[in-house]
Amino acid sequence: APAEAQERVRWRVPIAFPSALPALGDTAPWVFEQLNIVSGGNVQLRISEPGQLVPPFQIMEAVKDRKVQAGFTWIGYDAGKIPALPLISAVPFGMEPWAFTAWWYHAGGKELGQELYEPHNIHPLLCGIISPETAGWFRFEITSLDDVRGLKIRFAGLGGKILQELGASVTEIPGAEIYQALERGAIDAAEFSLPEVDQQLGFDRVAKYNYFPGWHQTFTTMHLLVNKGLWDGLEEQTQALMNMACMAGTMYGLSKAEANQGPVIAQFPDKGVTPVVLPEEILLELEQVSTQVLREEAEKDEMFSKILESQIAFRKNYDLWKQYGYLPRDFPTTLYDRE
Amino acid sequence: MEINEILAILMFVTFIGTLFLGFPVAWTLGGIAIVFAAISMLADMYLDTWIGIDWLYVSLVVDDLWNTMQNWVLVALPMFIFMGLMLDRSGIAEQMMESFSQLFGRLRGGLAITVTVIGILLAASTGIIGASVVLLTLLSLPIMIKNRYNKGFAVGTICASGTLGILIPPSIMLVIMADRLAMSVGDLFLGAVFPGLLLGGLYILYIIAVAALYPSQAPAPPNVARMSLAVLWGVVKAALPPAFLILAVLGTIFFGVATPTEASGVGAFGAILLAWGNRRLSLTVWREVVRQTTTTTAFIFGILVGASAFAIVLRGLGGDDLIADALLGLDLGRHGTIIVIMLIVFLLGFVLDWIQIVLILLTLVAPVVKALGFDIVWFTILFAVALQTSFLTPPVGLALFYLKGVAPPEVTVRDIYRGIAPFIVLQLIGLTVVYLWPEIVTWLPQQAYGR
Amino acid sequence: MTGTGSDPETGPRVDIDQFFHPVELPRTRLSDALDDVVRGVGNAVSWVWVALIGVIVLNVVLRYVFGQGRIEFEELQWHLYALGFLVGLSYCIQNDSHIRIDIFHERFRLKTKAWIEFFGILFFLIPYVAVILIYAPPFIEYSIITREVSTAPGGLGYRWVIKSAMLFAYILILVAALSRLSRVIAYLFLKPPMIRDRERG
Ligand code: NA
Ligand code: NA
Repeated sequence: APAEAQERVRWRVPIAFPSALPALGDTAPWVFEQLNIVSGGNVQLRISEPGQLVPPFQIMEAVKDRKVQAGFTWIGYDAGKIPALPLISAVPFGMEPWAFTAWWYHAGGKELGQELYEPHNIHPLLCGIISPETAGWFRFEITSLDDVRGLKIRFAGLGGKILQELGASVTEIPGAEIYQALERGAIDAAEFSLPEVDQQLGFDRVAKYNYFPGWHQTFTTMHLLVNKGLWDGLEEQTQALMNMACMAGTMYGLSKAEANQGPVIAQFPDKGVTPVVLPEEILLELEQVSTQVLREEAEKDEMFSKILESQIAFRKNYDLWKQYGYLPRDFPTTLYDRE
Repeated sequence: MEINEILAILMFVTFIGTLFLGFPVAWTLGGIAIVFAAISMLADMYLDTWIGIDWLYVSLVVDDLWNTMQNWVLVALPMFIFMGLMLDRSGIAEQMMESFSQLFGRLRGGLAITVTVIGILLAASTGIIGASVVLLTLLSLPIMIKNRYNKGFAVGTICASGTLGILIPPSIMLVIMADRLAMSVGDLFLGAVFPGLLLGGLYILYIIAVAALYPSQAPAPPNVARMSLAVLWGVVKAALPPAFLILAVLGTIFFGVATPTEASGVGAFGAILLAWGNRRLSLTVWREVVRQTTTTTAFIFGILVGASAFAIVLRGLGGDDLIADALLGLDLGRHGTIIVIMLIVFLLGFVLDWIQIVLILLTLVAPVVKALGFDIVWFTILFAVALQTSFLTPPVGLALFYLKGVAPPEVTVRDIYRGIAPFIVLQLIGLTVVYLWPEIVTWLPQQAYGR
Repeated sequence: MTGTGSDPETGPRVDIDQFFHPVELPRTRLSDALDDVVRGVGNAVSWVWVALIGVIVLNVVLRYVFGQGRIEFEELQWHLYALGFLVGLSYCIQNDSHIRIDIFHERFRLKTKAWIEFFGILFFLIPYVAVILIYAPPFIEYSIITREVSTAPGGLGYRWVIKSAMLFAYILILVAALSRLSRVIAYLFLKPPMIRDRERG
């Protein structure tokens, strides 16, 4: 007998980052294209580029009210309304991307995420994840904590809060003004995204020191937020299709982000850019403050505390595995490391 | 043709038709949006269409309004307006322009050239058209009229010079274009420098030519004193403080002491100090300046907010697909494609504002142009020049609106349309030059970064 | 309503009235009362620009002289600016300075202009304002329920307050629109006109 016809889905889906940005932006188009193909054209999610329909910061609310059926965004934008969101969108000194996916898919993360969004009438699907971001583009070198004090830096979110605690003069000047402010020296440093993305935006032209590691954003997720009423009404087949496509999207984003940063850094010498690793002294201090800030957040919000506990519990065992299962990060291999 | 497409076209036509009835532009934009949303819902109910606009969708205007409220970059707009009004109401602006015209002596068109030069300087410090046009109008229109300039000519000069800010870096437009195409803001900024100067130069050449050929259009000031040290000293005394203020604002931005937003506020503060220093800071002046700042800022935002409601519904009707399909459906060859794109941008510019055109068209055509083997920086700048023109083309020419909002009532829309026409031709000449000699765009980025 | 005039005492001044392009409609008692509200709020809120200048200057001094970044002041800047332009929208209706394409309009008879106002307010302005007035309350309510705060370090709390400015401003727009509508109705349907616009102020 012929298969039952699949239900038709036609959604307008606003995305938070321009689809021309690698990994950060082009995951959504890829996922939607796959959905279209495997469903034989039955499930069509149409992208609307940032600002075309829904302003990026408003995507979650628009989905909640079903002004649009779904949205593809970095959910950290909504931390002002849902304080626990940094834990599942990007958090200082958090997990590495694949560890995060392990927690999300297999250690209760997904369920906690759904619980978190339940009161907001939204069903969240993890649909992309990318590698650590850079710790920012600096006009000069940072050698000690003294250099951080009074540093004029553009830094968003919890990471900015931590730098502020350490005496930096943090600003959140709009994205549109970063390049010029950096170029003219109105700010000393700024963070935005992956080296590949930042380079496309031209930061490498105006700030010659690119700092690592991305302590403030060890992973960055992207989610497909679906209006919950709508999601619950979908046929099981459609739900499965979307779950599958998003899981693939997670791998797509991560593998693409992992693949592309090396070549970018390899070209730094040609561009006069120096990659620099933050001194351990500074990292240790940042970690201290970060822990303190996260504890404070956990005290203020119940879901924050609940999710943080879950992540800490997961990390206990996972770190054991990481300790035994993996080669040390700097372990030399004769085959791959020439010289 | 689908019903939604017919509605989209109808929406445009109704808008333009209604606009000329003279109801405020802001509410016409917002109102047409709601009316056509309602019509499309009725069509879905009774005509068996599936357009899919509902009231929830329309309510995105609330989110959009909130987004505008949060837009920190736009804080500079009321600040520059305040600065202009303070200089104007305290009489400092007139004094300054008066001295400049002394400086030019019997040179015809001197004031207009001054306007263009100030326009270029303003453009290099801010990318906000509303601010530039309002500032230039307040600074120079009254005195140009007083000096019996042809109104249209004066108005055209101001509008064209004021819009240079969107092209000459820094420019919000270039930033947004770079963001859309994931390319370097730096490339675009540098690429736009010479095309911007080229256009400024074209304006000046035009002004000189008109003043020479038709002296009545731009007469020399009637009561110039013979140039002497005393006169020169008078000029310096009157022009120096405000000129210093303007240069200080530009300087703080240029040398990175402050961001453009901050510099605008500091500039407004400086204008207060100047007025105070000249003992012109009466309560009446304060009152007039703050109230007129509110009015001027609000009529600009009225249009911005109305236009976004219009765009949301137009998009819901599939209007952007309509435009996109029309463009990509053609097979025109390499240069044919570029020319047709520019033509469409130019035509759309009559009825849409630049941000809509960028959102609808730029991301769509950029990959096509790249595939044809063109330099994408060059193409984007070409696009930007065409968009700059959209500020000047009626009926939806934002620069014209802004000028009209603060111009004396004897300046009619007719004057504005007549005055702006030659400058639109100059824009097209500039566009052609950049099209024929891409090096004007590509040379500077290559020098700076060795791309 | 002539152009610029130079006064030796106070220097050149521009008559503020020259900036308005009023459609001369009769005023009504209702319109006078409503206009008083809109004008009063607009006049008062106009001082927000001075406050904004103060905040910006303070912020710049803090950053460049004392090396201190204060994001609460950065946010306060757009809070003030948003309040200013939002309230200004109704202020502009009251003093009739929203931009019109008056290339034909200026030649219409007053009666024609009044009909355009009548239909424009009824079918364009009021429906548009209604959409905002209907959908802004739940938007603000959600901000209150979630106790929304800024995500920036040291950013401002109580987001619902500034979000409410939207509702406040659009109520004022409605008030200004009703005032104008009453004047149009008085002119078109009730005779004789009560107060001429010229007597304003
Ligand atoms: Na500019
Ligand atoms: Na136009």
